[in-house]
Amino acid sequence: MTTQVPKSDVRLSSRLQFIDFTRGLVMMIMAWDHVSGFWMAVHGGLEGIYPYRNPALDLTLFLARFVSHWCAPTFVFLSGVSLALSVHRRLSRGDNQMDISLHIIKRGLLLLVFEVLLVAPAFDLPYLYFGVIATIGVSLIIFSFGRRLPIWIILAASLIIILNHQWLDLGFIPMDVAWGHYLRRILHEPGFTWPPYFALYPVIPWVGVMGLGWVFGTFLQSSERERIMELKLPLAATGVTSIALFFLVRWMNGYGNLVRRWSNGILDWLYVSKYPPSIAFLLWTLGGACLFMALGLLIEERDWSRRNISGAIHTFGRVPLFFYLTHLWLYRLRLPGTPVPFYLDLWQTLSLWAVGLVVLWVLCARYERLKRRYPRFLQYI
Amino acid sequence: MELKNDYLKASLLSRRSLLSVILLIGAVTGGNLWIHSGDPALGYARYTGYGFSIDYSQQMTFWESGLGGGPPSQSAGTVQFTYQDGTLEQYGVIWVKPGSMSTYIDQTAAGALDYVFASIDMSGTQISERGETRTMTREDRDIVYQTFGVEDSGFTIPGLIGAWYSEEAEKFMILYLIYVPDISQIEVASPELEQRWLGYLDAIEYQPTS
Repeated sequence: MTTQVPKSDVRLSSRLQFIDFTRGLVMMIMAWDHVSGFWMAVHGGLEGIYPYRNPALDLTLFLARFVSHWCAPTFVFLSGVSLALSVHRRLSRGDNQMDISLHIIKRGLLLLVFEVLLVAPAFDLPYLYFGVIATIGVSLIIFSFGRRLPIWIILAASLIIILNHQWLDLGFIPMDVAWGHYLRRILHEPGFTWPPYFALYPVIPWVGVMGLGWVFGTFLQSSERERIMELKLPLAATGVTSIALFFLVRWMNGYGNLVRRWSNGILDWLYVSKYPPSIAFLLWTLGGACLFMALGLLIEERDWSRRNISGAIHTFGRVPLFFYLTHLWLYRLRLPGTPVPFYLDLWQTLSLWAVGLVVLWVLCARYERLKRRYPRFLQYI
Repeated sequence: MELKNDYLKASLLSRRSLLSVILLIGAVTGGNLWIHSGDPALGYARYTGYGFSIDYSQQMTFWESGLGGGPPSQSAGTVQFTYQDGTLEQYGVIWVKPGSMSTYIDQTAAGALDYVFASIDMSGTQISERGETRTMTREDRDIVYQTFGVEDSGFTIPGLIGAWYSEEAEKFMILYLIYVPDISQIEVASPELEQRWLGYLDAIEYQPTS
């Protein structure tokens, strides 16, 4: 089965700035989550692995963590969008399918290497830790061949995975042997019980999110730019509907939750399973991503993309992998295995985050120039 | 939305393929909802026995015994689920057949509570305080419940316990819950205690015992 993209298809030769904006925005928020994790005494996390929210988190600290939920789903979704745009651009340029697949596989493998060598040590986790970079890497490898399926099958499969993974039973894979334990952690059941076989971002639900991104990216590739600019309202409406459905699912307190809502308190409404991502979690976060994209289109339409803060956000979004790998070590500010020397309070951490973003802006802008000079050498980062 | 790409027109947005997507997703998800309608949620397991079942998180440790030691039986027993990691949560179901209680104890839900507290006292666990007895009706069951405190290492850990008679299981059922959101403040009763207890109460399913 092949995708029949016409060779004359040369649309979208320039970047879609609203995609860069959305990616840059969530990467800034992600940087906040990581800097607070590195430097604050109390930090939320492991939602879903823990059936209860961290009691040490007051409303402010809870929300400080909660906003970061937008990051991983948007990041994975936009990876699918970028992959679709990149593949269709290469096909229209006349590249052959095998070369494209090999390129995607190489990129996926490189992400796995980065996870082992740069990401896991930054979090003081064992080298076998399977995080968001690893799950994107494996998903890319899956898409290196899965992309050739008809797009309606990819859409259906992605939604079926997202809506049904909570019933997936991998009980036939033994949990009491290392390989089986690790496989189940990587595929579907995140957890931290048997070092070093740690995983937080299992492939099976997340590949579905990337699939949705692929479908949206294919749709963008096939649309005229002026028509894309008209997506503001549909995206905003989708975002609002998705968030309304989040509240419906939480209110029903059954299917789609994974973590039960124990009370009517705001914190219990918002304590949703990220590991693995529940439907409630994805409704909230991908709904937010739609709203961010609508905002990005508005900024693109008003031509604010180069203005100060907006310009920085777009810069981050154009070099996401460089930003990701750099920000971890920039904010960590200490060698692997070295404990935190002291803790920062909320305002100090916010200040560190803001200063770090300025440094990252300079570094990302320089890296972007470098990448333009050596596009072939730096094509994978 | 106008599309330039015939490929997309022919696949994603054709009515037939869109209908196929909706039907496929509806069939798989609807089928799963139907097949798994009674199953515990992901990450949860189900304890079934002695005339009832209740779901518990797989993060919890689980333990069952007879009332006052020995193995559980259809006459009396208890199952207890515990989670402790910054938060302490322990809940348990105790069951007692009316004939199993001492004859000098009222064969009522309130009597069953007294019987359970007497058994706990005999096991060496110190109950420091019992709150005022209150009643409620939940799904046609008359429930007697009260707060209590367990003495442990000089602290009083707050909890809630209630009893009722199950026609289906033909037993008195007792549900207790100890819930401390932050174990560094172990004596602070959570405002969510009653809500969580009610959640577990509603989660109990009853089956007739042979």
